[in-house]
Amino acid sequence: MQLSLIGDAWITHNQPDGAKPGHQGHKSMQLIPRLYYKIRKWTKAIQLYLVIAGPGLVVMIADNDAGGITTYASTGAKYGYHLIWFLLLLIPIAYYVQEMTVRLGAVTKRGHAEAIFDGFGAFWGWFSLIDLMIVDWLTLVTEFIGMTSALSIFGIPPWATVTGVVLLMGMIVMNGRYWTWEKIAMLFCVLNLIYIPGAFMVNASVSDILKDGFVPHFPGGFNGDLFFFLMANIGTTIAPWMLFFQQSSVVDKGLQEKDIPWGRFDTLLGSALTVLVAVFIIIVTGTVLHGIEIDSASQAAEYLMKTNHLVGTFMAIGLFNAGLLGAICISLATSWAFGEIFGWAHSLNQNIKEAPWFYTSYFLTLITSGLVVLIPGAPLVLITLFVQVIAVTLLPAALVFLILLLNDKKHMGDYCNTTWDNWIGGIIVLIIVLLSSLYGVSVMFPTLFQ
Amino acid sequence: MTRNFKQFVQKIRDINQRYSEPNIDMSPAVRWSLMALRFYLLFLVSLMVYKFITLLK
Repeated sequence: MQLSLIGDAWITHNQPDGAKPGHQGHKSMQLIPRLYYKIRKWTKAIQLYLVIAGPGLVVMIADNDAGGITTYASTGAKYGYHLIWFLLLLIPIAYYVQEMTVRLGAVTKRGHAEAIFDGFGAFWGWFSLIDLMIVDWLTLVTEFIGMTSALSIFGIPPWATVTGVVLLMGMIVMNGRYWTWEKIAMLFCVLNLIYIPGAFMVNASVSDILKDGFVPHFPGGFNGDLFFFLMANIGTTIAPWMLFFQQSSVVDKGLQEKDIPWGRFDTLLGSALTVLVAVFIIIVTGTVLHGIEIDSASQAAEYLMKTNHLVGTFMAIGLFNAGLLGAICISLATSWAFGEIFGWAHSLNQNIKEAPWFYTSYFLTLITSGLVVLIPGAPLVLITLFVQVIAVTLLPAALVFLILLLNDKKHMGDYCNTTWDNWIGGIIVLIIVLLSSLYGVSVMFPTLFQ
Repeated sequence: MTRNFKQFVQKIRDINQRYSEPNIDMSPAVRWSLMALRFYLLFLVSLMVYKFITLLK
């Protein structure tokens, strides 16, 4: 018997000697082409995914920004492994919200800001755009705070960090290709996994992690402190800029309706990875720093260095990388949104001559937020807290708009939300709105939930 | 400088004109959601103003 490949199908031919193989031989002969066909099919699927992969992975991993790393490090230090189960619940929550932006972007070919302007008129459009600009700018300041504090551990002065970051980010975006930018961003995403080897180096007890971390319970009972930490973890998992970023990114990448299944997979993988990284950070600080009050991730890195220098170094590098990845995405979210509304050329596929206002807005946001960190005596702690307060004025609005836009049959057609989607999405949005609002309020009035 | 400012103001007017009417179907559910959002934001802004005043005091 001979085998020949035509397209993706194997064709069998009888041997000229007319020898009839036995039943077992016939079966094993069929197994090889079947195996080959399956491997080829999977290889093609992976290749296709690698083409489409990006927006979901980058946005979800960038969500573990400097503020996020601080929240997870503090959670681990205060509650040990006890809140790992809660973080796992955030995977479907993050996925369901971000998946809607994939569909909206791929079907309407419009960014989130433009979709809000078009759908709800100028009042809600300006509200969202200006709010996004303020939240993004303040969040960028917090990213710079994270990056400068991380590198100051290695003796690098803040001015050198800010200058280096601005130059590096300039080089990343000005290559004139979305594809290159995305692949560089994905390299930084890989560096975000640095906490995983760190967790293996602190000799955490697997049985303790399984016993304490995977059984849902509230350590020490449900009190104000715990509630604050739960809200903070939700607040870092879903941020307003993520909705704007992923939708614009899907549009800039040129994803079509047919790409939605892969876009969904990309988002799901990103959601799982972001929580995985968070879990490993909790394992590191929960093992080494349990019972120590932690105010920032850089403080956690310094404490860790005293017990295990390499793990502390990993924590500091991870914090810098998280800040950088967050800054890369957040600054783009604002520039894309302004480009959409003002009608400027706003694609990473265009160079600085073709899209001058897009890059001006990008660098203006970046440089001004970096400079704030360098001002002596700047109220950095106040800014960090203020981000959470301002974010709750935008997040509920952006989420409600998202659900309403996904129900707009005129624009969404067959990709409209189903009743089931609306139930799940509606409940998730309601929970996020409620908890993030309470978080914002508790930041303003710290003794309210004590 | 003045010309640039005028152009910017004109651009904003154009945007307001272009998006003067909502394009989404204004069903009762949409109207109710937008109304609830207005009240929610009003509540948050009032809280922030209250906090700001108490901080000043």
